Amino acid sequence: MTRCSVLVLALSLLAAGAALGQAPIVGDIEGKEFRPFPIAVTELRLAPGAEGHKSAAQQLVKIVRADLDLTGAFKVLDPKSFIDTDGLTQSTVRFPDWLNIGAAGLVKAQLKEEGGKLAVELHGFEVASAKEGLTKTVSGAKDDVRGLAHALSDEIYRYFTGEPGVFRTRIAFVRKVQGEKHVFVTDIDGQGGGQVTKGGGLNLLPSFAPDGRSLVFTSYRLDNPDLYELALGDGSLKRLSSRPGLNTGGRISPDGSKIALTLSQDGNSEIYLLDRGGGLLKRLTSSWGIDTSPAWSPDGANIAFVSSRAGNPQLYVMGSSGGEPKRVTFQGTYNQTPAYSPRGTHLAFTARDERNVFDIFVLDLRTNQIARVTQDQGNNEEPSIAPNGRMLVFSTTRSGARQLVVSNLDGTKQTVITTGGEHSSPSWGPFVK
Amino acid sequence: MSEGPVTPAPGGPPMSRPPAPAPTAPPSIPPSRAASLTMRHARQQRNLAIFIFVSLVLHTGAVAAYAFWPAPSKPALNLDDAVVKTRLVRLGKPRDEKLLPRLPTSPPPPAADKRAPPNQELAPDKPAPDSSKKPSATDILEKFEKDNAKPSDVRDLIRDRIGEQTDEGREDGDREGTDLTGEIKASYFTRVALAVQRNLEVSSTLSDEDRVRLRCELALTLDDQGALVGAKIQKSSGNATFDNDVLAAAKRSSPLPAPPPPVQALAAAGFAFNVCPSRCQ
Repeated sequence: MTRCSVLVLALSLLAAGAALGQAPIVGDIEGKEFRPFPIAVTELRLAPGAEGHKSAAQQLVKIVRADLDLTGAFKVLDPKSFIDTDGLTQSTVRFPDWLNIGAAGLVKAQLKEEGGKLAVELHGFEVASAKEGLTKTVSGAKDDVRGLAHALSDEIYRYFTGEPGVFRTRIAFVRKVQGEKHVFVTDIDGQGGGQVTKGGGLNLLPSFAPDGRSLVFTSYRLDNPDLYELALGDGSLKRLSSRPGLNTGGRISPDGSKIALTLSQDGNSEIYLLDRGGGLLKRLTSSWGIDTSPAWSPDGANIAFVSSRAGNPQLYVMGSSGGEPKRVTFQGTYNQTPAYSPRGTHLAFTARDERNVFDIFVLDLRTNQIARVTQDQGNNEEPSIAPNGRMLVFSTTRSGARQLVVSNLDGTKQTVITTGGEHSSPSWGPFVK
Repeated sequence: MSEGPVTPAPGGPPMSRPPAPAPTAPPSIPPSRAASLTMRHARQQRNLAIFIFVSLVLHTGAVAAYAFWPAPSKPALNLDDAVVKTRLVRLGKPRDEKLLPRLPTSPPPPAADKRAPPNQELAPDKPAPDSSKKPSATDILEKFEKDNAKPSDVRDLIRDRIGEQTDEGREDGDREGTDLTGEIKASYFTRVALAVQRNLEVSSTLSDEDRVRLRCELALTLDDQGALVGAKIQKSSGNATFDNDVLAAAKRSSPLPAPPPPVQALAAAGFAFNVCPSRCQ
């Protein structure tokens, strides 16, 4: 193109833009990098009358900062850089001060005591546009500072992302205790909670019910791997399936009416469907290979599982009433432990790569593309996706003993949330209702 | 016209023509025509002299102008306009489709040493160096050459500089060995877009839906050197965080590539880009 024609084109664009009162569009810019959102969370102010809760205020801020950092979506700024002598409301906040330290988001709060409870008046700001979009009071019991902190984190997360936070959800897992294995339940930061099974020797493969009020797991308490359901409220235990052989990998359907599990009562491991009381509804698979690890799709229409029918363990998806399974993984020779994302578009799973190391991968069921989450950090297994679909939990041997890791979906932010002992088989629970 | 005897023209050159044979005698030129021819010849002579003179003046002037004309301060061809940074990469051997993907940023794990550990008991005893013995000139020379050994070839040099190379190049390597196609190179606006894109860090707090849906219009005005005179969100995405990320990227990108003269007017008046978190659909 000659200079003259470029000039003519440019002038034409200019004229067109001027006619509309806007600059003419000359192209597209597509983002390539996502970076954590820089956020400043200030110390809690103490309202008159709440001076005695200084320790609780400090603990609240510490937990909120750790929660936001855990997601990988936020970069929590170091409070040492804060001036923080301004006010709590939009008209009194000095936004340039916060802009100068690189904050894009700002959280300020004041702790009060109301009706025998702790109440936090929460303010969230977008610094660049000097906008206050979050003003809310969240209250909680004085003896549940952690719960109050997680509730604050949920509010902050929802304001800045538009999606629900998972800070009040829980994670079930198996921990080795004095030669036995027991099911524990903890907050997503690995704190709080505790052991929920007693006795039984080996208690394995826990999975939350959709309402979060109970767990199904396999226990050898009667010397056979039977399936049990434990009510988390009163601790009552119910044996659901004690058929000969394996009764493992129980998963309750999203509507809570059925249970998919692996039984070997017919000699080979196959996927079966039980009613919620443990009655046999249907055998879903029938192949010479081992079929195991069922996982419900969020809409309950499909079940993903592992089968060795092709000669090595691969992931398959079938209708929840059975039918011909469709193989969905074709890379790798040892793929197992599938877990659906909340939207049903992805499957997280464990795979052994060509270096004979187990790692976490995510399969996009729409494109059949597999993304790797972990690499060169020991063995990483048994993923379970958070109910908002933005994080997952899995077990790792990266530091020796098996621990639990909470990670974002692309693996760029991974946090080991347990210490000491042996931890395995994590299951991320549903939203608290 | 009657033919008469030929007579030399007055003032003209002498005519020395042999006498014509009787039956076909040449026609004689009348005096009036001879005078006309003489005048025309004189005029031609004069014109030729003028032409030679003018030609000499023009050529001399051209040579003088070439020799003494001041050199232009700005080169006629601005090489900067055409410079496009490229990166030569080796086309990678595609990873076996049956293998699981590997993350590109992770360093390869150290290779396991599969050699059997040396059997200390069976290893022959090495003679202990005699510390009392002085090194000979040959020993000193050998040590010097060993210490100053040069890499044997280019591969050694590369290995020394950037480490061991793998057999595979980058999977996204270009067959032509460049990162950009020739068509993109020529576009000024593409260079501006790339400059802003390099600085665009979209907040990871955007929801999956927003990452697909959001789009804003970023308007830029530049001076002739490419410095950012103004940046504004001409049309908001509806998400203040994303709009702020885009504005910040534009400000970080200044100075942008200097607009070539044909684009300077538009750059001063303002032009805009659609900006999307991941892909503009």
